[in-house]
Amino acid sequence: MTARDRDREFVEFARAQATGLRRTAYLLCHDWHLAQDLTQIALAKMYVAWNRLDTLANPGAYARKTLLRAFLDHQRKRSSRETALELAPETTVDAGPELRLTLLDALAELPPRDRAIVVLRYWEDHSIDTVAALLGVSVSVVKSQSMRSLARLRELLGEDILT
Amino acid sequence: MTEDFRARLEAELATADEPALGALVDDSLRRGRRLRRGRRLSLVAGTLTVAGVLIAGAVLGGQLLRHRPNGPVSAATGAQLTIASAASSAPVALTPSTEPSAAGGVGWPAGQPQPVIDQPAGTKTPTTPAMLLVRLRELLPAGKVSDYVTFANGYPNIRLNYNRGEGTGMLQLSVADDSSVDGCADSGVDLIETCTLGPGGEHVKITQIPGNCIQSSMVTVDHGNGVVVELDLPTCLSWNGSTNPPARQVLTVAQAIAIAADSGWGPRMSTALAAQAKQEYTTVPTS
Repeated sequence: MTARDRDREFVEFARAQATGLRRTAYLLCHDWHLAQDLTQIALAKMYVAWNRLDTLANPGAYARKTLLRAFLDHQRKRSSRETALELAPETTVDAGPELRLTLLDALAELPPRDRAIVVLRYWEDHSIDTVAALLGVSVSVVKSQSMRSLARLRELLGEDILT
Repeated sequence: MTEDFRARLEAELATADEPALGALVDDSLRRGRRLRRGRRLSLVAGTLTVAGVLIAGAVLGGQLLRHRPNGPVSAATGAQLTIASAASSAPVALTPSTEPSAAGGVGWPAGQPQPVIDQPAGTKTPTTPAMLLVRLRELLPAGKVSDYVTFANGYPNIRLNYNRGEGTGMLQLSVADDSSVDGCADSGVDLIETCTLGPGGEHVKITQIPGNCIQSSMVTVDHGNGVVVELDLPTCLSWNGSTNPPARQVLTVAQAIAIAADSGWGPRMSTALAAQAKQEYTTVPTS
């Protein structure tokens, strides 16, 4: 296969995966701009590895693994970013139904890895074993963190969804 | 359950103003090509970098004890070190990155199992910023630690100022327990990543961001068991309201690797350390 064929093959793969990857990224980071960047990082790394990917049974799963690593790497580095915060003026608002916490908001409250576990399990519909493999953690960690995260989501949402 | 969750998220995503993909795929292709070129170049640059680290490591010599449960890292003074003084010392063994590995992340040799840095046996307690502070203080060369603070970002972390008589600098340390360090393909004009292997073969990534004094150099060590320790070596101090005052980098990369590879780090750390931390630091300010 020529380099041009490889590139064409990669572009086809990337076009097929881009929307799904970016939505997963958005669920993880709640920021479309960052989701776009994380997806680009994941796809770029896929491209670098593309010549060897024919040995992988599931390049889509590898793409998600790369995306997750990019996300978790980003979260880790966030702590060291210097940000100047301005104090927001105090305002009084009536808590109407439009201010109800969304599931997206509640997800954002979870620690990064727990969020990743929930998104992989219940959005991407991966098995516990697959999630464990994608995140490089044990099956028991996935099980316990899933339960804990769902309990936290129920608590935040104050309703019986996710039962 | 899954259907319920998916349906609700799909409904919310539908109102989340999802932007068009635009040039995402083309940009990814361009970025991938640049990374691939950068990787070829980095094989040469990585060799030179590792040679530099080896020299620094040689000077640090036997004083850098990997996985040492106690005792400070050598107080070697910065990167301007002479080889002559290290003639009889054991160097820190670093190996340049070789072929990328699709299975294990881009940037480290393929086919080699990732070594695990096991924590010492004993009872453990969930890690707090104060515990990180105490452990880091134990590992640092003698000096003054001040202005410590932590950030609410989901991982135990600590930022502090440190001075061993040559001027104040800053350090930032975080301990994550989320799988592994990503590979080293993401170098570009705004980010330089170098993958090496630590003294025990563990994956080490050195990230440099030119123009960002807070993240000018970051050392990340993968402990191979889900624990990832990042030690940042800023060249400035915290934001003082108008600027980040310039400061010296207070540790060499080799020193930072030795500290980040310490076996004591983890999401849970020694109970004795926890007791000491509780006694010495009742609270750690949160930024």
